Amino acid sequence: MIRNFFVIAWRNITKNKIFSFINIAGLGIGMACTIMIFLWVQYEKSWNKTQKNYDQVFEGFSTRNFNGELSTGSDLMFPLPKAAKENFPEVEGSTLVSYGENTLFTVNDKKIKRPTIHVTNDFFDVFTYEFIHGDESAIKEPNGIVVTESTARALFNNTDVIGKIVELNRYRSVTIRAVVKDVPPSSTLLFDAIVPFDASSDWVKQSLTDWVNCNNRAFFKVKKGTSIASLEQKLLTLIKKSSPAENPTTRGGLLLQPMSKWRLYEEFRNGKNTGGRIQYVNLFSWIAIIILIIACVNFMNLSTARSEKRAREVGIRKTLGSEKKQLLLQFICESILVSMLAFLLAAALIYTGLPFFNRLLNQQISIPYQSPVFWLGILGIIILTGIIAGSYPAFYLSAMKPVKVLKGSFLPGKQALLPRRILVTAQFAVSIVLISATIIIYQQIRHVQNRDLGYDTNNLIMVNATGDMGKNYEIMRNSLLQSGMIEAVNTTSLPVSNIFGFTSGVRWAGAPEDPNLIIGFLGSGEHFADIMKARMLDGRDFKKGDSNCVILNKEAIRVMKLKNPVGSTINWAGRERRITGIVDDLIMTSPYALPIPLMLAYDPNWIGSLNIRIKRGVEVKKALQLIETIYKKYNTEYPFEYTFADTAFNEKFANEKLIGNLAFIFASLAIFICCLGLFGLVSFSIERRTKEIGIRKILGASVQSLLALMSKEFLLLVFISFAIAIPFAWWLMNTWLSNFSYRIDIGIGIFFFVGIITLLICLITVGLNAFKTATANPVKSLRTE
Amino acid sequence: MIQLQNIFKWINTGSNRVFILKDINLEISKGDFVSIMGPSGSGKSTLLNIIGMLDQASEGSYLFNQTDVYALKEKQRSQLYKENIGFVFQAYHLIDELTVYENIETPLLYHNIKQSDRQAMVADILDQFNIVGKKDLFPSQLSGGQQQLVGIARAIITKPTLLLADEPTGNLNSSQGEEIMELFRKLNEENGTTIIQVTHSEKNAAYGKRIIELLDGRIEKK
Repeated sequence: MIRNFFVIAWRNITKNKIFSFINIAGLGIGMACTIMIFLWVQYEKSWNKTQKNYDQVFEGFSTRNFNGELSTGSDLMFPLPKAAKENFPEVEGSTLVSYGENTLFTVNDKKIKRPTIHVTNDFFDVFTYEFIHGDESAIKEPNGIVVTESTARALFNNTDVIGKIVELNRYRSVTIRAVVKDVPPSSTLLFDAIVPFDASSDWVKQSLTDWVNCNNRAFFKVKKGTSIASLEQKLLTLIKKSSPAENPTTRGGLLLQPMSKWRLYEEFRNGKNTGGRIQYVNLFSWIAIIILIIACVNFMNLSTARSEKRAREVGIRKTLGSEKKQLLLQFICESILVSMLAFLLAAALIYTGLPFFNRLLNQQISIPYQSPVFWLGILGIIILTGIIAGSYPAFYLSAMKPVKVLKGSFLPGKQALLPRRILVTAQFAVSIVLISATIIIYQQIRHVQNRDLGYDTNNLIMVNATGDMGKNYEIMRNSLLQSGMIEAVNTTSLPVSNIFGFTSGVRWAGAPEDPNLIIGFLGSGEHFADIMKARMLDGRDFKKGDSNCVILNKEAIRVMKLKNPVGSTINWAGRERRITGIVDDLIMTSPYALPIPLMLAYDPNWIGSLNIRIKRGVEVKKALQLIETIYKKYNTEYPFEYTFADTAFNEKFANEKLIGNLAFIFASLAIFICCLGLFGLVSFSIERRTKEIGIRKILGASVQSLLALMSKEFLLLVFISFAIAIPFAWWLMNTWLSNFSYRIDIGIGIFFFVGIITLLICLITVGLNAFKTATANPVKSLRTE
Repeated sequence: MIQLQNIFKWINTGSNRVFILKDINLEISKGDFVSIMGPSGSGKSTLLNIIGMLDQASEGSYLFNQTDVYALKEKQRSQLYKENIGFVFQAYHLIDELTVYENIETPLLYHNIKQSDRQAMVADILDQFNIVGKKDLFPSQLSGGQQQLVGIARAIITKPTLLLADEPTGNLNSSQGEEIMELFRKLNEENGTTIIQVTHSEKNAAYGKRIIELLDGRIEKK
């Protein structure tokens, strides 16, 4: 019997090509979206899963009060992991890991920079990797390191490199003791080499007992079944006991974040883990489902609209002895067949679209051909889509009474008009929400991109400066300026694209008793405001010959409550410093956040970044060549690495841009699928009204009035969906915008704009169909009746 | 076989109640061949549909083989229908997307008959009706008379005890009509199938063993 069902289904599909195309295209696009989004979701959820202790590893986070705001960070003190393991039996392993750095590897004359992590030698008690050569004991030796396969190949062209000696950053000689397979990109800890902290360095010797400064991450492998809340308390007590005095960490809270949450729940607000990427993962999972449902709705609408013909078949089958449930089965089989065909289309779309999707997401999602779960999921999607799309038409059709439908005068398509209208309205409402959301996201990004940063990012290059830079700086600066291509040069302790250093150690006469005053700091040489094109509000820029000078920004003055700051002194890092100027707020961290209090400390020898501004109108490529030549002349040790300040700044939008792009793509697809459905419904409705339209034409109706007649019904539906969608879109986007301190207000204009767009799209869809009928010769349509 | 007692059928249009059948009392025994006649709108088709269980009377009782049809549950009634009744329509009502062979096979599917048996039964009836050569054609490729032959073949393949025909020759020319009527007579006489047909034509009605005339929902003459 099933065979018979599929035969008739296939013949119906091939017979009504337009309707089948609309159904299959809609469902296919919907399915492709859904599968791609779910592949992405799956990928996001698979992060760190290659770790064997996935369920047992936790990262420590400390919540501290900065200037009245609770801030949660993973930076903890050096001795904590070891002490935790010694004191608490439930801690099976623990390790301290640096945040990751680019390290210069030198082997003979081969020099490459690779991302590394510095770890304590108990690292492999917590994290697991696949060893190709050597084993976990590699880092137990003071100068033994572990490299990945690709690093080994890059340095030596093979992986059998145990015992080879490598120089790190030109000062530390280490021996490769193990080689591991490359770390999958879906790992929180990404590295090309694992290096143990240099036990002989003064810094490490001091850090061993330093319970105040927090510079690294602490990871704990915890016995199964341990109460995490009580361990958190124990750790905090340990920190309090060990710290010499109160500080923001001891006053704050401690939190252990399980590995399963590292990727998706990375956001903390007011000391609580509030989610993060998971919100987008959930949001897009919903969008995936909604798009598929929109496509299913098309199927329902078209099937019920076209039910006239199928109703007769239902009547006949019933008189031949069919039961209702057999008819239900038949129609479900049919929609499953459509859904299978749609999957073929979806497979082609995914195959061609995945590389593009990957580029967009900047990720490496692949189709897990070998995974049975994946194929089961696909089968599930096909059958579920078939059932969802087919159930309503199936119930609707199988309930037809043979007496009525076999009489011939009955027009069943006219029934179910209300449900069909509701479905169309719902489809359009969803599309309108998606379009509005897309526009608002783009507006917000634009708004932030156009924000006055307090400095100019154009033509500003930040060159990594290390090694010999200090002693050759003046010569370099002069040769750069002499070339005529460079406007200004300056040095800072770190790149100006972010603020990495924060201090609570600023003291001054009359300072309020605020233990939580935290100020960002950056070391700088002379001409800071000059090169940054920052506005000095008072006082002056750093100049040659200054010593012990600072410049504060407006926000710093505000939080420090200084009156007449210029000329007064503050104390920081053991030195009296004079405030020489006040600079306007600089947006160096998140472009969405409020300005951060910043102190620029004058120190021409504290060099981490060489900032160069190219003259306007100079060809950037040429200027870069020049800079490289000069850089190499004075820095033979280090490769030339640079970043454009505007690029670095734009990277801060990456996430929002991604969301914007995804929303744009899915909104377009959703509206496209809706239009497909509308097109089908309109053409069906027109087919039915050919005679009416012919008669009206003979009675003197104009083409415009006929177009209006045919569009009226659908435009009304669009209008209703608009009225439903707007408040929801407004609420949704206001919630999203509340994530940002610096944001747009949603104006009425946007919705007006969306309304016009939607209306236009509908008019075009209806018009494509209606125009032909409205302009046709009525004699023909009446004769064929 | 069939006992109809005090059958009424009405529909409500607004506040008016329009009677289609009024107090029908009818008995039809096994092996009978009944022709129902009457002008348009007299209720012939409705009566046939009520007998065929496609429609339900508004009032009255209906015994089919001593079983009270209206006391049965939906499922039992469709079982009773499936086992006993075959329908033939004026408009043939073949399924356009199925070939002749598949159209005839369809009722067998609903009777859960095995594939091999189905093949034999369909082949048999194609042979009997002389339409073996047409088995792979679609209904649109057949003439009206041929379509009706297929319709009848489809109706009788499950060997129903009661064959109901609603103007089976209405869309056919007279020679095709005669052929169909001869077929009915043969079925009635040789197989003992009870036949009830609705017809406008005196000539065709005469093939029946008895004629019932309806006028305005009442039986005028038996």
